[in-house]
Amino acid sequence: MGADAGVPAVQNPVSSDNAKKADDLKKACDEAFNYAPAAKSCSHAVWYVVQKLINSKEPLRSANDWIDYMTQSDSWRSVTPDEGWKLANEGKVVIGGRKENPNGHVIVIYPGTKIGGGGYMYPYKNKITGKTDDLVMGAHGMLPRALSRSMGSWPGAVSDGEKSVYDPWANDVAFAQVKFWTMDKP
Amino acid sequence: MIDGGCRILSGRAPAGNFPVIAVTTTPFVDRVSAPLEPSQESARHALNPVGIVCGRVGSLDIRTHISKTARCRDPAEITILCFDCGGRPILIFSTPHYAAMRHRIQCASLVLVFLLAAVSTLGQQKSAATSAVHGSLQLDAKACRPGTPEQKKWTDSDWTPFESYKIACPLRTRAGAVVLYVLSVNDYDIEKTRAPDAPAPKLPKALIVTPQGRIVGRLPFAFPFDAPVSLDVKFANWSHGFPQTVELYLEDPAVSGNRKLPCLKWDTKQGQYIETEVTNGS
Repeated sequence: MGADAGVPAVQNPVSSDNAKKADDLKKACDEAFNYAPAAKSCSHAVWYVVQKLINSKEPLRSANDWIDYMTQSDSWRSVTPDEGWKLANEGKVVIGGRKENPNGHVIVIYPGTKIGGGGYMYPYKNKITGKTDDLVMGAHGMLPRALSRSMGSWPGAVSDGEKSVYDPWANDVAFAQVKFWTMDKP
Repeated sequence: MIDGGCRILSGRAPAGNFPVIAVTTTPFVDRVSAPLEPSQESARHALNPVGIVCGRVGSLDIRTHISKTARCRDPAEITILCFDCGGRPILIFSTPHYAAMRHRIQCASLVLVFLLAAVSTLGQQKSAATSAVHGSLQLDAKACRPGTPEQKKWTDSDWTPFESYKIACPLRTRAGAVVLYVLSVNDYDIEKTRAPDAPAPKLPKALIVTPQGRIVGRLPFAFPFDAPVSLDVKFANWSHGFPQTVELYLEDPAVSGNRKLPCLKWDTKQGQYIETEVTNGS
């Protein structure tokens, strides 16, 4: 899987100065996506990228622990999705996440153009007719791309840059509670 | 017998959304040919010809709606509260709220109304008891139907793009009476007609509406489906035939998973269901 699926895109802001760093981030994301222990664990994917680009001795944490750690750490600061997108295109690691009981979810902003997301099939049951069918998830505005792996079966949570940061959560109420962090002082 | 001849009309207060029954001194001898007797039968005879209804409540007659308590200390401060209009207290009539009324209100007229109400109360007690709700009632998505032209008027301009997808989902007591409606859009049909590469439309949030058309609450999503999540709605904690709590459960196939959402609580002062926690919905 790669980041160049046939999805709408907006202008890529990567300058030549940061292109190398952004390429390194992209490469780390691709490796994390294919990292076997990350196949069923979002936090392993995030951990892989952090180890690769920030601190090789970074301990493994669960998604909820990642969020607690970044919230309390002096080294990590909160950014908006748009700031996160710009930073990712400068090669900075930007982690997004939302705590949940028992398991939250964390992702990394994948460098590149913004995309609309959606486009994947999912099953649903019509509560009015009682029938079960498949639907195609719609796009939800232009947002940064995501590196995401998941222990669950939601297709929006499996992304090597071809889906947006909205897709793992896939609804406005949940996505409004997703926060993003970047590390200023590695 | 009616002192001086009174007429009981249905109407609406100029500044409020509540139904109004105005009691005036206009003679209605043209409608009632026989003197009234304080019995249920004569009350029905006397009142039905003048078309007494509780605003837009529907076909229920006035005896169902008149309060068991009212004041007539001073004709200028007369208030009648209806305790059975859609299951919650509704101000039927209050002189300060009905400024357009110019005729002097006769206490005698109200005495008659209360007499009729007292007679009818005996007959209501049985039906009220059988329609009482214990526990909670789940809103049945299968009961959702396309909104009627009247119901479609309850929504604002945000709903205009979804005119043909509006649905009304009745909340019925086990006796079959509609207590509330949830007005929403049928996102199953919207999703079916949406091109696969088209953006998902931003749906209006479902509304909780009284049978009279007053909006008393909002759900955090469209009901029952707001792709890709589904909402289960349960009305609980019933009091005087009206649910005090709306319990919400979200079936979310994405990473957050299925979960309870903060419930909505009835706020008597505001006459609205209010969120018990902010859900940060956009």
